[in-house]
Amino acid sequence: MTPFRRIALLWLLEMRSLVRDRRALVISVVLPAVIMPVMLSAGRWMESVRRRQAEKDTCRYAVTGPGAAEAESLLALALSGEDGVEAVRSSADPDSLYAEGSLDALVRAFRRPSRGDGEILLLRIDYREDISKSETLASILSARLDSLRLSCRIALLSEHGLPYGRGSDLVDRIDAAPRWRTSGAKLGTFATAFVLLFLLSGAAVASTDSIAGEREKGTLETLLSTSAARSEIVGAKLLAVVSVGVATVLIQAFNFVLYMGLEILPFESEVALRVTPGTAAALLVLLLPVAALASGAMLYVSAASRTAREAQFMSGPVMILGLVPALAPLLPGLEAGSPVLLVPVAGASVCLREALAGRTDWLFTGVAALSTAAAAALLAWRAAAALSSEDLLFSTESPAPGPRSFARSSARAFTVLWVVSVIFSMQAGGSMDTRLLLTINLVAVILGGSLLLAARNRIRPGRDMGFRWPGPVPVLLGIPGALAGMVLALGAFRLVSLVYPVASAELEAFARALMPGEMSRAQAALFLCVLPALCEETAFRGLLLGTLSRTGSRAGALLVSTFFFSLFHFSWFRLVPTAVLGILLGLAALLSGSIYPAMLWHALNNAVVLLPGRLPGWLETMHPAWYAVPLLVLAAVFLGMYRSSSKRPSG
Amino acid sequence: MDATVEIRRLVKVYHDDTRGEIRAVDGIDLEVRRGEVMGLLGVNGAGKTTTLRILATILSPTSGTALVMGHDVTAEPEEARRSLGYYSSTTALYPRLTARETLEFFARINGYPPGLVRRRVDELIEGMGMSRFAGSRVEKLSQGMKQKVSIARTIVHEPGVLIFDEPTAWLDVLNAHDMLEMIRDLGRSGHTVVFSTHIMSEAQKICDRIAIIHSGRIKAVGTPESLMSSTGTPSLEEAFVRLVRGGEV
Repeated sequence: MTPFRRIALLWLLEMRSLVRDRRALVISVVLPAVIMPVMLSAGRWMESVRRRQAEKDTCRYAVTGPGAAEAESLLALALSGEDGVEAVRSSADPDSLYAEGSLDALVRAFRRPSRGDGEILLLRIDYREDISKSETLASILSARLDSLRLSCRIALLSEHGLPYGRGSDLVDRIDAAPRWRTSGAKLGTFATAFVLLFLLSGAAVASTDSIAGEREKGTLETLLSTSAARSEIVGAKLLAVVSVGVATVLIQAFNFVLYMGLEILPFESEVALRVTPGTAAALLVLLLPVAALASGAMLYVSAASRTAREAQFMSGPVMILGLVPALAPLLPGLEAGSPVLLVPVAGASVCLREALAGRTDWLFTGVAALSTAAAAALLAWRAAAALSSEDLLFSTESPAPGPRSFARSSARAFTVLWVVSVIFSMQAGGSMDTRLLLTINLVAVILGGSLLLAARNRIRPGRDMGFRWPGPVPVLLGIPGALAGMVLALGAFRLVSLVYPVASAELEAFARALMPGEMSRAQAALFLCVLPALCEETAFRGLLLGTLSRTGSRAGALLVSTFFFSLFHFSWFRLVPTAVLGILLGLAALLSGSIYPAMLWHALNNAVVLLPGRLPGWLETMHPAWYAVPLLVLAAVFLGMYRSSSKRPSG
Repeated sequence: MDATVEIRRLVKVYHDDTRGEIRAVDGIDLEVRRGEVMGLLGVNGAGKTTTLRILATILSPTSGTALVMGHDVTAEPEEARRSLGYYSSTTALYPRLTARETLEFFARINGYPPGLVRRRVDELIEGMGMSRFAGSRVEKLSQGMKQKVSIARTIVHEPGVLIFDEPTAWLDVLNAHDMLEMIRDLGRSGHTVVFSTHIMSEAQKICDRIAIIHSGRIKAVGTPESLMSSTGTPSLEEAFVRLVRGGEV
């Protein structure tokens, strides 16, 4: 029998088992097909109910402040014809009315001196985002005032002889690109990410059962005793996972078309695509390696996991990380001819955008496809190697308490801790003193939870968690490390801002939340620097990274600990800088064999909130080439930590 | 030479985080002749399963050689696997395949001539009394039915060597009895059987020869009667205890 026939036979076995698995079918076919229209319909229904409710109830506002009289007449003009909005004019104090909930919004009118003579009127709308009626009123007021302002501006310009007005803009723009190219480029920017998301979700379902599930059920041992080679087994499983992933993508594509046809999804009438046979071929050449890589990644996760549940937990971080390179087309100035071609998925994603915009370059397409295919082959090879790992093959039995047993349940345990932390913050966040909130979250949930887990699993603080003195040099190296790491994290933030610009108001609100007025500088040092360093390092670098790196690959351990560290600090604009910090702290702990350097590093990093005023301006504007300096400093710091640590890891 | 299984100076070393280096198999030499039922008798952790997993090419030896029907398990693993059928208490069947599909799959994957697969499967279904449930999915079968399917998938490609690793573990008394009967019948029908157990009565009941294994080493090999007479004990159990304890003193 030829290897191809054996692979075909094994593939048929996989597919037959998957098709007969009701759970897999529901998760990969039925749920995606049903959930989207249900969610969309539910969203639309709720929005319409909210609007109807808001329309039915009269929204009330009042105006206060030194410019109240002028503001009231302006608002009356702006809101003319708007039903359901009422201005409250009473002798009672508007602030009190707003505070007791009698008003849905309060407009504060200030006067400021203008550049010339006289004053200008400034308006601020106070509202409550969590109350739909209040939020709706604020939106109406903003929109009507903006509209009034535009009308006034047009009138003034026309009065002074400038041909500005509706229908005759001062500056006109003419799009010279054909509509199909523009649509193609827009769709292509996100197409790979969407395809990858569906591929990964389908692949996760198939791969979990494929190796980790088989190992758990005992069929893997049966399969390994047949005359099929391990490479053939992995090849067939990879094909099966690719098949399920591709089927999921096709089902989703069909869903999109169907829902747009049924008008469940809004269809943009301006969208026009031109898919020539050449474009279709380029899409196929680019997406097949992406499918293979997504499947290879999930298969490797399955092969490297001891149980199906462990594989399921590992799939989440892999899916999120896998989507990052697919978003490469969002980065400005990134073209198909750049070195990004060599980055798996990212190169394919950029080339796919170009192909959909009608600018296929076959050389670049080939290079991008090859780099992604090479990564897929590497993962498949690693999965085959994991099938020979005796440590993994026969270790589904429950081990005695220790790092190995904890490693199996660590993802689940930290997810529970995270859920507890989020629920507690949401419940107590608005009413509780920040210091108490921080203490409970850091000391009780993160530190207490970690110590409890460590005790239950008989994790040794010294050997397993890195509570051991590495000597003064590695610890002190945490000081330059923290400074260089901070510059690098700021660089990461700048990079993210290119794609996801953060409003300064959002940053200021975050800073206010972080350093509330009631906290003195000494208290801030305790609650924001010392406690997070002690508690979070014990949990993420000590317990999680320490045990995972002792029982599995260090890179995987670093990945998982960074994922949870980022999850506990989750906010979109902080995600990448926090992940950078997590990786740096993890490297410090791994290379020094101790968590003390990471503790000092973490405390110093957080001490930035204690600095008076803003950070030096050059940090926010420095040329990208200068980031080589913090990178070199970090390299020197890590080398120094490794060489000078008395507890450095072997190998 | 009519030895179908030959093991020479076989060593398997594991590395454990806490216990350090573990020599699970420590220089085993063993020959099993054609048509013989050889029992590996030892306590849990003696090295029986590791030895059999090396023979089945699921594990690689640290050093030494093992041949199955003349094929080196390290150099020619595919050929070695084609020549053997492997069954253990931890090997399972695909729950969503029917009994017939299971047998057809294992016959084909092990290189049984495609044109003869159907006839061979029919023959086994008929011969082992599986006609009643041949079309049912494995997940719906009783323990006894699954056991029959498992044995059938082990022998469906007509291998020369059959390896049974603690086949009666987790089975109730009746199923364990049937399993031993089937293994004895397979031995009588000309198969070479290597069978591991820690239950003395099972070994005595079906084995032509027994190798007593302890701490990764073979302590003695012989027929049950010769083991008892050489140790001067009235039962296999006492012979076993004397050989194992005597080796440690």
